[in-house]
Amino acid sequence: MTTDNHPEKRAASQPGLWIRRVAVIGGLLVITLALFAAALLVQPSLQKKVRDLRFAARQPFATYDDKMRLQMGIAYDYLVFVRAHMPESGVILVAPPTFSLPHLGSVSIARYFLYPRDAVHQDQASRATHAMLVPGWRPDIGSTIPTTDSWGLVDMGTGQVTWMNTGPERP
Amino acid sequence: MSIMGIALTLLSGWLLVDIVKPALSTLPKLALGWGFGLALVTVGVYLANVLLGAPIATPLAWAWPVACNAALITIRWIVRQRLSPPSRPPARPRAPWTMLEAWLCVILALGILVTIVQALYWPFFDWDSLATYDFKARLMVLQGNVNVREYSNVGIGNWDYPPHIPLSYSLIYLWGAAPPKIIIALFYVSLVVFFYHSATQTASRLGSLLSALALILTPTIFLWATHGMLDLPATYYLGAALCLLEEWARKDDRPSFLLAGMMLGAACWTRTNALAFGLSCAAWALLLGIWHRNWPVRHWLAGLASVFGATALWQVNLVLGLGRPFMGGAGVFDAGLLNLPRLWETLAGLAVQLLDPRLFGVAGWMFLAAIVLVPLKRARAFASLTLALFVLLTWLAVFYGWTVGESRTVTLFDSGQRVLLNCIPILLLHFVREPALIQPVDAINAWLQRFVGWPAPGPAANG
Repeated sequence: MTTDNHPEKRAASQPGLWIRRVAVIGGLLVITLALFAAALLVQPSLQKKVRDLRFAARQPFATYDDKMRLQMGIAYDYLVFVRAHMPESGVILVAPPTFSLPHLGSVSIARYFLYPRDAVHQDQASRATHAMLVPGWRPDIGSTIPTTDSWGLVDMGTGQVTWMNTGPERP
Repeated sequence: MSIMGIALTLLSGWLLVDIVKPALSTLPKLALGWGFGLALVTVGVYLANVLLGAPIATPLAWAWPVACNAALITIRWIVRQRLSPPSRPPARPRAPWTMLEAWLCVILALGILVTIVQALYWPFFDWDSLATYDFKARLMVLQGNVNVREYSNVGIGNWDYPPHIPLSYSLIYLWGAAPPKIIIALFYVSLVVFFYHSATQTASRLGSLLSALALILTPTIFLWATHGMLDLPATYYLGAALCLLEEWARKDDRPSFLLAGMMLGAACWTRTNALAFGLSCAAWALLLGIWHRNWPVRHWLAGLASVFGATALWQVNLVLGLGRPFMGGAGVFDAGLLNLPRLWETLAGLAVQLLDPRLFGVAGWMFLAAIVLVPLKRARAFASLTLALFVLLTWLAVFYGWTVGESRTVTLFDSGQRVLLNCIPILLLHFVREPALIQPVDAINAWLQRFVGWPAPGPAANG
């Protein structure tokens, strides 16, 4: 029911009300954006969320590999490479927990990606059948391991190394 | 097919809530139903596996939810036959939305949408999900057993945590191809729906929306809502249980008390340290009941049985099935009962974390405002205030006991932060329960409506 007291009717008779409405909505928008910007500045996890959201918007149908590569970087590619070149009964010697790429210094993460293969640290190196070769860390298993900063997998039984083709753009 | 499995889970929880508290409206019933349904389904699958040796495989993943629903439908029918139909309070006429309310609603919806999209789009990538929860879930499916072989050589991080959430992920894998993180997204939505429902019982719509927004945009909640860890489910279970307990204390609503007890049980089935909060809530209910000379003994015992039962479900299996020595309270208070510097450090840790906007946004400050601006003598929300103080004291006791023996500041600031997250809903609920704090917000709302020539907001609810 429309009467003279109806707000829309009053608004029509008072043109200034529309200006007020636009000003208030604009003010709310500015306040919201300012609060969001402030939160973005002080909250690193929010920055990461925005990055993830932008990636999802750009690539809505990205594959599992694409998504994991964004989150884990080259560590993901390396673990995929190891899985492809290691028998299921193998046990891999991983980098120490202090390694600069933390995903590669964790037996738990290695087990997740390499299951049913097992993973161990140096304290159980005697169980290992293979060892990681990653830039910045080489297993202490003799002098036959090349010291180049390349990514590879060494078979501890034969000493044979399988190198990962990381491409020219990779570190 | 995953949708079907999720729908069956939701239905079983909805039926359970409908049996205990038929007067509750549909949305909060669904919000509670999600948590109860998932706990019912995982407990059933777990017991069938551990006691009867049924493999964790597709037949069990479908058979148990279907059987559970059939049983609950029968029980509901019998209960409905014996009791008169539920009397719901007459619906209040709904006032039109004000500009501020609509604005908050848009931000709330955006926050929820972003979280759901993130949860559904991204696979597990955070450390603990890979090393613990999703790994357990995959192994349970691969080996068809809750007690996976890798537990015997401690090949999995946090292997002795209760299996509720990993088992839920396993069920999603068995039901079909939906991303398992949909479980966490549903906990997030259910948490905000039930919290909003609790808030609207006494506060205006704007006040309730404001506190719901403060809840879901609390940075740690917003962050964990897209990860596959226990923190958000535990926050949902404990938060809902505390809201229900508060409702019992405010309205002497015994069905709420019973639901709270079951929720606390589900929390213990999710995370072991929820037991401390369950016992603390039991002590609070006991003291409040004695104070008012009115307390539901049978409901209280049922709640306590739920808390201990849910804890025992997994702890007995750990000792008898997996051979872990019984821990009891080992390690707690091993450096003497009173260590004043450590107590001070723990208290400071609590304050620093709670008031850090990067961790808990404005939630800690809102609670502080509620206890500073409203003196104790004028405090009207006695139940929420005492309950909030009880859970904060429990946090203090847990982390003091945990860190008293050695310098574990990492524990205090890492695990401490995650457990403190579980207390956020009740802290915000206390804020919204104090009319003196919400009235200025309502006044601004009314003034703004007049300023732009739109209808005045509707009256606030009074609980």
